[in-house]
Amino acid sequence: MTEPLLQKHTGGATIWAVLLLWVLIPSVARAQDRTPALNLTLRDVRFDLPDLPAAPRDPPRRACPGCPVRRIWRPYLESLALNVMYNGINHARAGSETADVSPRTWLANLQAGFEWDHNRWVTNQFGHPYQGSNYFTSGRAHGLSFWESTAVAAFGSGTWEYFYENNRASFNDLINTTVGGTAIGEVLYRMAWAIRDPARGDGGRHTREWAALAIDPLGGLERITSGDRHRIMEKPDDVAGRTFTWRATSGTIWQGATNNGPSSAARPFLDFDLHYGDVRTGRSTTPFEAFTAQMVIGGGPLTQAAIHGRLFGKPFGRRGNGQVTIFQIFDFVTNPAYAFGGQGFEVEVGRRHSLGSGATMWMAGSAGGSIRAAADTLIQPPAGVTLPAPIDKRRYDYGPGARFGGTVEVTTRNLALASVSYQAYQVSVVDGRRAVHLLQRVQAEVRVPLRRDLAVGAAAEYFYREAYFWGAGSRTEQSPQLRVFLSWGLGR
Amino acid sequence: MITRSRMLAIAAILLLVPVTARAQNGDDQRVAEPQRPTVTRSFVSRLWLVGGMGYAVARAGCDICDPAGQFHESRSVTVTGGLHVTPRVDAGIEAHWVGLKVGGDDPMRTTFILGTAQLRPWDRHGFFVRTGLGVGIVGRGLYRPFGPSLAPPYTTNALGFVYGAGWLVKVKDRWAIQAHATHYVAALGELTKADGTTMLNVVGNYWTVGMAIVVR
Repeated sequence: MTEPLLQKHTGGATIWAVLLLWVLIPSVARAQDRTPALNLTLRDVRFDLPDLPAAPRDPPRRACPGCPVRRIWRPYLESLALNVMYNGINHARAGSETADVSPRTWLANLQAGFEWDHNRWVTNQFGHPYQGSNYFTSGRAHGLSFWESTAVAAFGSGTWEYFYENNRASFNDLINTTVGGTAIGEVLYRMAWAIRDPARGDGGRHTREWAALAIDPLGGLERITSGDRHRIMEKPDDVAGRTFTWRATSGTIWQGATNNGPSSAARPFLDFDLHYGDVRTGRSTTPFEAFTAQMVIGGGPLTQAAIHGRLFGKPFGRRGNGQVTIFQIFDFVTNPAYAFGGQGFEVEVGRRHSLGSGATMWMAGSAGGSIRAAADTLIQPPAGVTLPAPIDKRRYDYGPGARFGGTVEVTTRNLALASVSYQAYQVSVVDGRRAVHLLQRVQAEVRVPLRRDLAVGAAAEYFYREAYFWGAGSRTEQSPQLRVFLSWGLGR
Repeated sequence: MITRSRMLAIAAILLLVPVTARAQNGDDQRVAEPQRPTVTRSFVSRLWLVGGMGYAVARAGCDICDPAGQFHESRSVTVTGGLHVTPRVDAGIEAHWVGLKVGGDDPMRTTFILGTAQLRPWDRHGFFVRTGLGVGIVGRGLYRPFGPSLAPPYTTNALGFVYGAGWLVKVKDRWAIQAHATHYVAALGELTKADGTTMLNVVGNYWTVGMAIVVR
């Protein structure tokens, strides 16, 4: 036991001797030029102090006690590692059709610039945004802010397009991955933190950590590698105290006849709604401090996914009953009348009215734009519109567009009793069949509370689209549907 | 037909007018409302103005275009006006003009009108990154006076996007010079050329390097 201590002391003495000489030599030199100064004595005294504690290492840079350690460059490196991983998956899944890359393909892609690609609907509208969420959550896991992590998503997407695929960089993928990835990524980040409870010291904490890892893999892995997973600490300030409510709705859906097909038999469906904070109240400039998310399965693997993340919120009116909100929106909708996917921004102006007996009515109108929207081409263009073969490879068209809608909802005891809503998407095609699409949905819904969080309800929806083809007239498609359901969970 | 020199003169005037107006407004405010000088100065001091020129290489691509592409060299003009959002972030509206050659035709000028944001990650360095989104127009409207005639339907329906980086060097007070490299993308959709042929799904890529005078 004593030997190491002896060695340690011997080593320490040597270091101190060297330090003392190093300090004294210049002092002696100065002493030849002038009379000894007071600070010389002070310096000697200071270095004669025995066993000064070593200078403390810089503490990890955390924006708050519960925040992850801030590392600016690591998310960018992780984004490149993620690209290697996804490139490997493409190699394994689809051979080397697009995954075989080399400096020659890099140069060719850099010289060629962007194009619109012909990938599958689900790949472009959902796969790429999820990939973007990986880049984004890597930034959040390393303590970067929402906006800083957006830059990470853009970097990951840009490098993927240019250097990890051998086809030309895709303009639609860049927007889908960056903007869509930001929306999905922030939702996953906040959901994971709503589940984690790092202040707990019992076994339940680890169960929560594993659940959060499944939701936000990059955040979970960072907590494992940094040791934060086992550290007793508070939650980061931007997610502390934030909770969510959810509602599961399941039942039967009847699809009415369309222009091109008869009505379908009854099918099951499952609808999952998530409310994080309250998007209809409060003043906020923190992105996604409140958001809603919805996912519907029925008639297909995924028929609808939507995220409304609040970027800015401000009450107005004498009693603060009014609310102005700016949303970032992710949309994925498929139904017999149309399919729509896009990323956009929307301004909502709403007002709450008291109806007495605890009931309130919420009325709101919204308008905004889609940065990049995709609309399917279920209907063929009119006669006279001929298309080159490459366009036929893809069954949907791309373009920017407008969006607008409105909602009237009556609520009591946190349950939406009745609602009527309207939503329209306009897509002005710049890649595909030259047309302007107008996609609309009207929905009326009634819920009757049974006991506690359980309710029974019915909803009628009508989907209608009109496509105006340049110089060739317009085509329409429509689809009514009726749903009967049982819902469980908290309403708004 | 407006000549190139006239266009440059207009761009120079556009750049200078806000500066002159700022000086006039500031003086007027000091005389007329001496009790509220900070409000006026605060707004003016937040102004962010950029004007400059550059060298551009443009390439148009489409479904039926030659995959090897055709590159066209031209000059570009940029004018940006905006405000400081934070000490590191500026945001505003950008107008950018650049030429593009499609299918062997005469060069056609593309006009970008973009909402743009510029970020300086480090306070002590002039390095900045910027991005913007808006419309890119080839066809009638802003484009028509400057280029060859196109047969209808003209394209006025295009998605424009830009990203890039540069370095800002402070010269004096609020004046600075910047060098930048940017990549503009215009999803031009459908172009019907003067000979009647239609090109579908045209995407214009414009790589630009240039210099600009900055008031910040």
